[in-house]
Amino acid sequence: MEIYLPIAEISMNIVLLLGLGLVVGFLSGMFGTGGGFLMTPLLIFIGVPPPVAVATEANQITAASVSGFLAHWRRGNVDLRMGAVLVVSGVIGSGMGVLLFRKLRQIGQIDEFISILFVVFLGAVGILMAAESGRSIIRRWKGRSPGRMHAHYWVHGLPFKMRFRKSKLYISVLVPAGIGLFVGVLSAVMGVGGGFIMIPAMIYILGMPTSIVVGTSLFQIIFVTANSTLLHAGTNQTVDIILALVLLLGAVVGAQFGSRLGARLRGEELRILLAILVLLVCAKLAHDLLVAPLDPYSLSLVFG
Amino acid sequence: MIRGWNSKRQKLVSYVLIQLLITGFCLASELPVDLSKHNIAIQSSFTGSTVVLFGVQTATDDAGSNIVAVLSGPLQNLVVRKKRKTVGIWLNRSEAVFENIPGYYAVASTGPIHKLLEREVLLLYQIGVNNVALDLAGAIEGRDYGPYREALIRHKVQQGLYFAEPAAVDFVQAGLFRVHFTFPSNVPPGTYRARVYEIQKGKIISEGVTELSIRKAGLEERIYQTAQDSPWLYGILAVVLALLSGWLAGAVFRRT
Repeated sequence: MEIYLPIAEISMNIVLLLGLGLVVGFLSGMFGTGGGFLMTPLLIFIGVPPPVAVATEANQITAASVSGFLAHWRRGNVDLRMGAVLVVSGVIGSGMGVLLFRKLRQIGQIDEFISILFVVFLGAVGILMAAESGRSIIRRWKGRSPGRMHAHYWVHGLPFKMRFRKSKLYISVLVPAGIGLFVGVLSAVMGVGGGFIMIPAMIYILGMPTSIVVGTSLFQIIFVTANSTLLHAGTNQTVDIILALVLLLGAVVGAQFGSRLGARLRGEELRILLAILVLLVCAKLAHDLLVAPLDPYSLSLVFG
Repeated sequence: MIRGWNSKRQKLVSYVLIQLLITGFCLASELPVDLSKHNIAIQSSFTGSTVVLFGVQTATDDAGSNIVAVLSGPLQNLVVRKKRKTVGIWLNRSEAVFENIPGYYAVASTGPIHKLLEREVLLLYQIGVNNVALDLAGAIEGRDYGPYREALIRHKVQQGLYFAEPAAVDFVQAGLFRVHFTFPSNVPPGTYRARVYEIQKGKIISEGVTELSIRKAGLEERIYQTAQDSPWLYGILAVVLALLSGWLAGAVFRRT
């Protein structure tokens, strides 16, 4: 059964789209990620124009993050003060990201730019995750406990210090603001929530307690992706709400099963699996950039 | 089905007879043609469509005549980009912009078009996929745009919007012909124009024109128009919809 997507201006198999939402939702429920870093490349693989894939995925992530955020909020796992700093900087960043996106689309470099960003970040995150979970698996075999993180870097010497009671931190506001800005730009350009960068940054750079990291990250993602959606719709008219709704429908169901299965699996094995998946998508994108295309010419409508 | 077909044919034949009486069999007369429908609506279940063009030959002598039909869609501005290897990565490095190019283009004929008409006539009337006027915006002197033109047509053919070979013209009975045109789901919405030429001994002896409108309809039309006409309102609606559906999804699954 086909469904016509009014903004993408193509029809796609609704079972394929629901299935995609279900699988990515399942994985994101299992691993506790937003899933945008898998969904956006997969949408591009199945033929959704990249500008529509990115903008629509921002819209879908807003919805997916709301339900996740509410669950964390009820458990009190959100640092609102830290969240506010990340939101303000993230919204500015996503605004810059949409402008950058528009400029790159006008000069015809957006598709490759998105691919390169995905290759770099999926590659880096995939390798780090595989190495980290590999190490902890080996540690478990050897029966040693993990060593403690040292929480003092040069970042703690910066000015404009601010107290974040919930995170038990007294650090320069410039550090979370810088992270928020950076993730905001990436979020708007790549059509991701940015959790896969934000969460490691919160743990390893800011030194936030892991219990409040996911809830606070989701809080930021809601606002940043909402802003990206609004700006993409306002300036590029690339948000396809029909596509977003179909994907969301699959994703919410998938996420429920995923989180139930995820609770039964061990963390390290889970992360190794996710790392392999991330590296596979990365390899496919890298292959398309590096291997001579079958047809070096491409055709598109003049934009802007 | 069969009855509808017959009544359509009867209607067409009577239309033709009236036309012939009015025009009085003069030379380069009007060729009576019509389409099976003049409106195609793109809605949620749209997977493409077909339209049938009907017409009646005006030539009545033994020599017979040939028919060429052209259906072309709304004009677009298109850009063809060429990738080149740049520090190991294949990136778009050069481009050619084409203006006012038919978004859809199909030809049907009773024989090989280059045997029916002179090359000049084919070019003048833009008959045949390789005779479509591909006008460049800001062409640079001395640069070879041939590969870009070929790429434009190749991609349009791959998208199912141009056709490499002319389609067949079927004769339902002596003098009454029909042509099937197909549209894929990615058909550009807009006004389509069918031009039909009747050819005898290398000359166009009559021609007919009719139009077809392909438009988004229903919810799809509303969504598309809102996104185009009030993009910021559309953005706000998209965000509100996302917040609501996210909250709803969370609420539904908290109970179960």
